[in-house]
Amino acid sequence: MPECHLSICNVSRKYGRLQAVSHVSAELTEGVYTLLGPNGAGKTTLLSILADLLRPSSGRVCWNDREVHSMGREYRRLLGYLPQKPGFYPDFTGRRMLEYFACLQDIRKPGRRIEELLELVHLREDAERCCGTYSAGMLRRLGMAAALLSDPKLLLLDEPTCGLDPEEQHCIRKLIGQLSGGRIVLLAAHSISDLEMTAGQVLFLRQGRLLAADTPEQLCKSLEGKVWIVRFPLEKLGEYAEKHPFSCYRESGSFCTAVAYGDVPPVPDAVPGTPELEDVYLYYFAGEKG
Amino acid sequence: MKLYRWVLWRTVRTKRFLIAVVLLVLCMLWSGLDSMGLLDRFSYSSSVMAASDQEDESLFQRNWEISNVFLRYSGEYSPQKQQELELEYDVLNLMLRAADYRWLLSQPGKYSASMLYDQEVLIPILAQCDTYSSFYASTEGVVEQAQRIRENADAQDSYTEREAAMLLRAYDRHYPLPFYNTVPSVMLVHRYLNVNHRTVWLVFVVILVMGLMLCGLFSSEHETGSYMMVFSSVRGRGSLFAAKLAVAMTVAVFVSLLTIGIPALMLGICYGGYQGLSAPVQTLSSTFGEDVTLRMCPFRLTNLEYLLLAAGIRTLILCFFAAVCVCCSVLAKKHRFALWCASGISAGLFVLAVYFNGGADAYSQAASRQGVSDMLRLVNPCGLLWPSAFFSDFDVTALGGYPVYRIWIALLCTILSIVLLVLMSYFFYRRRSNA
Repeated sequence: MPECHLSICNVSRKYGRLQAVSHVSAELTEGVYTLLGPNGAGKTTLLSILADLLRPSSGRVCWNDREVHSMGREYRRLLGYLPQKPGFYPDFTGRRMLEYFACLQDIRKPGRRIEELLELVHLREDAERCCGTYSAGMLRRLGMAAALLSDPKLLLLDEPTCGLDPEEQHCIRKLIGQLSGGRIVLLAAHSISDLEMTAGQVLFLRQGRLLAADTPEQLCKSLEGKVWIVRFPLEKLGEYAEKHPFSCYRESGSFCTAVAYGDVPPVPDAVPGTPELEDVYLYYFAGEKG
Repeated sequence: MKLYRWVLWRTVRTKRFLIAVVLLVLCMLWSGLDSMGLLDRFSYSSSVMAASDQEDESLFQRNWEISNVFLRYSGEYSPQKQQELELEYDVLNLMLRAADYRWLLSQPGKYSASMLYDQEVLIPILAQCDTYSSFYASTEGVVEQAQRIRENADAQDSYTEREAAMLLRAYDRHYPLPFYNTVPSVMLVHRYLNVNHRTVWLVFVVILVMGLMLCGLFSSEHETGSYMMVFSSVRGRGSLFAAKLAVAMTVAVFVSLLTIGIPALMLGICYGGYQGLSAPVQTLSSTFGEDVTLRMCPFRLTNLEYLLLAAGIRTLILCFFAAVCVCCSVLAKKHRFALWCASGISAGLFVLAVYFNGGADAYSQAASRQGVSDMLRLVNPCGLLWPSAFFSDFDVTALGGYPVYRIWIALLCTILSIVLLVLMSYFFYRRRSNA
């Protein structure tokens, strides 16, 4: 039994008539996992269940074969959670906020650990500023630091790069890349670019259901023979779009490349293409809004 | 303990808390000045104090006469006879209030008869009496008739026997009554003991202050969006709730100290200290028109002990208000909504207590003596804002066929209310933290 093992066994969650999560099962060990899905897919709900903030309507979540709800404090001690919109007291400084969370995490003498984390998230110079003056990216990094205070074995990140500028996104992705050793990192994302920060499995979630769970390479391989490309002059774009159900269009100069997915070519002059991560995403989520 | 210090520090450094403290201190300073009669020169108490400042012998002579009404009417004074009468009837008190009423009416342009409706009943009787003996006899007949009715109706009533036995034991223990011992130092002890018509507004201020201080205690987590990170932490559930609850009770004690300490300090500084603290509580009287009298208190207490008891009761009520604020703060996600709810509930209970305490008008007086209303008065924690009402007489009620002092029931109901509110708050807090 590895030291970090999270079992998600047939977990479902219902809000009235809305099935937010439906029969999701997965086995997670050390590494970085990406939970990918459009808005409303159930990512936040699933993460909340894993963070013991919500009780599943059915199924169970186990850590090293022990149900997390019954573990109580013991489970929360090895858990680090960064919600989509981390909140802090606006009148607290960054350092004070971390000290407060360290107290909540029952960490004695957290001074050194706080300094290390402030250095890691590049907030050392701004540590004495009030949280109310922080930008969105700084708040996200502070939240990351708070989630890492107890050196958790399970790190849950809910859309850590959402709403950030490219520089901040890169900073966060780089941070996540440094964190994978010796723990499970599960991050929720809704854009393909977030897959760059994971070398582990990708879990595709759609309307509460788990569609696929595999490494990016395997997922791309699974689409071999199902990606079709058609190249045509740009002026014929309207004609093609009207007649054929292509999933995406890429313009290059005076030509347009259309991509379709399926077992058979959509048009006679379509050629098979090499599947990429974007194709995998579109294959599962094409037509989803958001 | 560390978490408690964090929560306390977080609570006291908010602007709301600072505003609440300033508001409370200003109001207590105002109340203290009013108690010393320095604000309204036309009020009854201030005129008495002004008279004492000017060494108005005639005014104090008048009060001595009022206090010694027994001498005035009978000329047959003896401590033993006085004590016997006082033990059996409250006639002297009735006469005293009637004498007060005539003196007050003699003050031109200051008081109208409609303000003193209690005394209106006594005036016709007093007008027909030339001596204390005739007044005594006229009321004695009424009392004897009531006793005869009671004895016939309750001949086999074991509760009546138990109550009578308890009554005898109670007054066997209390101090003899130096009825005329109403020196001003004792009045200083008496002055701020109870909520009367002049200090009702202070209760609303205290309710508002408690709400400002405490309604953001739990709702701030939702307002700032930090609740998810807090609830997913090790001590973010039960421990944090306990710490916040402890802070709420600490704030209640702090407010209680301010409401008691500021007027006490002001009076003590103004008059050079306190005297009469070791005197029996039965020496406190209503010669200055206050609706407080502990002459018939069945408990063996000194003034200091009663002061401490009243302070403890006031702190308990503030703990109740704190529990209401905690409950509303847990349920509401915005501190403003929690403030309105908590203030509304507390103020509503207080208004009900005023009404059923017979303090509003004749209807409320009548209502306060009806069965259900009487019980509501007892279980309403705000009823304890008038502790003298429970100590002023042998005040018992039937509970399972046994007489029980109403003060114990009122205290028990208040404590149970606090416990119930805390449990409810914890239930909703846990439910929210692990939905």
